[in-house]
Amino acid sequence: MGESYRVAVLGATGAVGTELLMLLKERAFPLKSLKLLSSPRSAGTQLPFGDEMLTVEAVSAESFKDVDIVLASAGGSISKAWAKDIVASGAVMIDNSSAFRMDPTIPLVIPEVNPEAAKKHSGIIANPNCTTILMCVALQPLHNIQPIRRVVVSTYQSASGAGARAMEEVKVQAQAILDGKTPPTESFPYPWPSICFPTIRRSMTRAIARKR
Amino acid sequence: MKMVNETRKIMGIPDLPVTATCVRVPVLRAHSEAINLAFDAPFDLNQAREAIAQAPGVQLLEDWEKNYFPMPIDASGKDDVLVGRIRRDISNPNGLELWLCGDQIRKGAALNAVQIAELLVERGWLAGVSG
Repeated sequence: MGESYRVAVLGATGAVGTELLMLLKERAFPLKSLKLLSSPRSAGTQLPFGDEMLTVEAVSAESFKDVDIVLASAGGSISKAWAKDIVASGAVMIDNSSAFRMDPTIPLVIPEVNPEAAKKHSGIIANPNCTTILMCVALQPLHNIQPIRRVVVSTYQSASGAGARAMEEVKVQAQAILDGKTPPTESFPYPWPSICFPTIRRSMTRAIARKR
Repeated sequence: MKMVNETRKIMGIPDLPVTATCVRVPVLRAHSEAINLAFDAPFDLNQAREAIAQAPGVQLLEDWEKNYFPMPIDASGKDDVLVGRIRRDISNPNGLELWLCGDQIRKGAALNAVQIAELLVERGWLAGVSG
């Protein structure tokens, strides 16, 4: 039996947070303990971990004291707010947000592509953007044979990338169209089944949401 | 700019020309990408297929006879990125075209994070190696 580790998931109640829990179980990550953290608003939520139910705690500076690895997926401002406390406690933060990705002192890692970059960390490792990860795992094996000189890419990104609400809206709107009704619009000003929205900038989504 | 800057940093090619158009489509889960690559010389198609088929984290999925290539529904809930429709760029002898689908919540986010944690643990890099 090898060593085991104390892990905390920051942003446990989000879409990526719940997927992280599933993966830790599925891949039998060597856990000594598992702590679920969130904003005070979501604290108290019960989340399944295998056959157990775990209770989500409100995050505080104390949360990281007995932790080896923090998997953070609560957005850039939350990651920035807690990074110092996490590093000071001696834990390593693997951050899903864009907050630290382009910081030259912080490794940005895809294990199949640049595993060695993870070695020289000072407590924070950034997890790349979703479309970048998907593309780079396919590019690297080709680049190993012949250097790539230029990349032109078009993405076709699903609604779930815009949040759980957008995903639900696709279903509701598709049903409305099947029923011959005018689909209600919430996350975008246009009904999902009729669009290819040529930008994924979140500020745009927010601006639209605010306007409504 | 995320795809441009992050790709350069991860692949360690600071001046790699990358251009991206990102489109939101009414698909429930998993992202797709149409990618055009340029090289200095023609890329052998069979060698490209072989490289994708053998690389970790990706799977070659293409059946030209049945006209079957990766779709978001095939990639949803899967760990591997599905790659197919590898073909020559008919406008450039040194170009290559490919199509991929991958679950953006798995490999695109949570799985990659857990794999980084596994990497740190397996290689004994949790404390970080200075220098």
